[in-house]
Amino acid sequence: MIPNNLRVINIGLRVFYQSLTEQKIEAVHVNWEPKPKLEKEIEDILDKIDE
Amino acid sequence: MMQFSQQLKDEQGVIDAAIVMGTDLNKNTLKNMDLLTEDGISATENDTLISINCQDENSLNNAVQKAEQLLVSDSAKAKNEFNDLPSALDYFSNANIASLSIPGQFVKEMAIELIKKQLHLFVFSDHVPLEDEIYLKNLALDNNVLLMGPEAGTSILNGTVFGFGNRVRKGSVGIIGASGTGIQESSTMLDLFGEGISHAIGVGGRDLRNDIGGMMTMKTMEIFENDPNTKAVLLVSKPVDDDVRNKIIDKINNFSKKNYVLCLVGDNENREDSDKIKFSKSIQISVLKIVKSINDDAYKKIKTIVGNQVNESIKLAESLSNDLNNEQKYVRGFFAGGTLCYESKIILEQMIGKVYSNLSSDDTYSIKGNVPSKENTLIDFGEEEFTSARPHPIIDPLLRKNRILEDANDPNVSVIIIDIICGINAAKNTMAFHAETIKQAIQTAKEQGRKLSVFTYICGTVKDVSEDELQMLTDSGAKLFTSNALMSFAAALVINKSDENLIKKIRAEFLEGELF
Repeated sequence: MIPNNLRVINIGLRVFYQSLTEQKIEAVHVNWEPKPKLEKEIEDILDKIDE
Repeated sequence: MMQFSQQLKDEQGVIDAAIVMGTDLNKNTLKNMDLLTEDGISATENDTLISINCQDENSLNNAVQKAEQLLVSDSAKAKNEFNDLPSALDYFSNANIASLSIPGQFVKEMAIELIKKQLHLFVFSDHVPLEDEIYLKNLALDNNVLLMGPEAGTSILNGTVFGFGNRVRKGSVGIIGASGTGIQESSTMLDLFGEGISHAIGVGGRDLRNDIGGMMTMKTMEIFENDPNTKAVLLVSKPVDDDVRNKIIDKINNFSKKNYVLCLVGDNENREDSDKIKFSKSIQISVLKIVKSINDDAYKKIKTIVGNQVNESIKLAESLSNDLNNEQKYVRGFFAGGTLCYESKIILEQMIGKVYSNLSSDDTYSIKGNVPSKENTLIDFGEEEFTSARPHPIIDPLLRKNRILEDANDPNVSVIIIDIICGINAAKNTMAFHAETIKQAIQTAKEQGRKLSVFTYICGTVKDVSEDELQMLTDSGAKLFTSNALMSFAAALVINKSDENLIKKIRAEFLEGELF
């Protein structure tokens, strides 16, 4: 069940991505950031549209 | 960001530094680190905050330049890098595992998408809500994938380290760990004894609680059962809820063809070993038992070596004890590994009485890690008060350094014990950093007319730590131990000459097993 050839998507700390590539593992990195908070007014407008 | 913060701290004249996003959580942490300025307060989640505390203005100017370089350097734009998960999945459609280290409240949404695409997950993130963990583990089982974590410090799959881990040899022991440093100590000790591991699977600290019910532990047991490379399985955890423990024992007794060792650190019961299941209260005993189950000849040799190490530690402790003045009565322990801190607490409490700790469940002895030590104190620097937005002490040992130096000034301290976790993703130059810290601590006490002992357990293999680094640590004045349990035992003996029966009991239960 555990793959012999690991192919990894790293999401978050880049240091983990780097250590995987240093271990000769095929990997890509996702530069994760929290979604920006919308201004309250825009949120209210969007909420109204949803309704 | 974390590695950039660390690189800034390595600059000359920099006392402390952080590069973080301007979230409320991060700003609060900067405040606790005395790194939050007026400008910093007004930062938003969309700002990158660079905060530096320097010895002088020159150092500050240099550090600011360095920070700018780091943020626009090539390493800030790694190859194969994407800004969102769908782009990464499009490009890398045959990925089979994902490693998540994002804030816990965001894990569920991303994990659902990955599990549905049949990817195994290694989730390093902490603060994942319990209900999210239950939901995601059920979803993982439905999709026949592993969910390692959350709060998985370590997994080693086919020799590849996820999170913190060591360069250990391949072999026939499968490790299941509800504890990252439990996996690290057991796998490095197996390596030291000439054995190796097939895989080490971190299942997350809560997996063996009743509310999770050991979902991933059971799944991993099935994997090891069907793995021809795994001859025996070691499960390492802090105490396990009764129902879950009984479920695991039933499953082994009824379905397993492999030998198991259950290392339940902090379990007070004296459990009887059976043909298939051996119990242990320390990581050292669990490794001895697992080696015995796969290679009896190797076990006999190792047992003699371990017996000699224990005898030498007793002699060392007696000798150091003679150097203490009347005021030096206490042990202080500062750990990067939570399970190691807990194991140390169990051993010390049996030998010298109650210990103040941020891991204590006893209200009288429970203290926050960031308040001054009292009498005998053990602190886990991996706890929330230190890591809410600052890197784990395995990556960033600065706070622990400060505490070691603070307690070296305390005239009542006789011995300080620490773990030094080496290996993949640990702080660079960690041995040199700790050697310098220990040298300073011993010198501080010496200037005040005291002889302070500093004991270290180094969690690492010969591939992680060089001979020169070991020599550097020895030259600093540190005493080196091959296991956390042995270090803790020796520290207790320095401050309190235990009676023969207690020493025999500790040797049998925590250090050597079936002894006398």
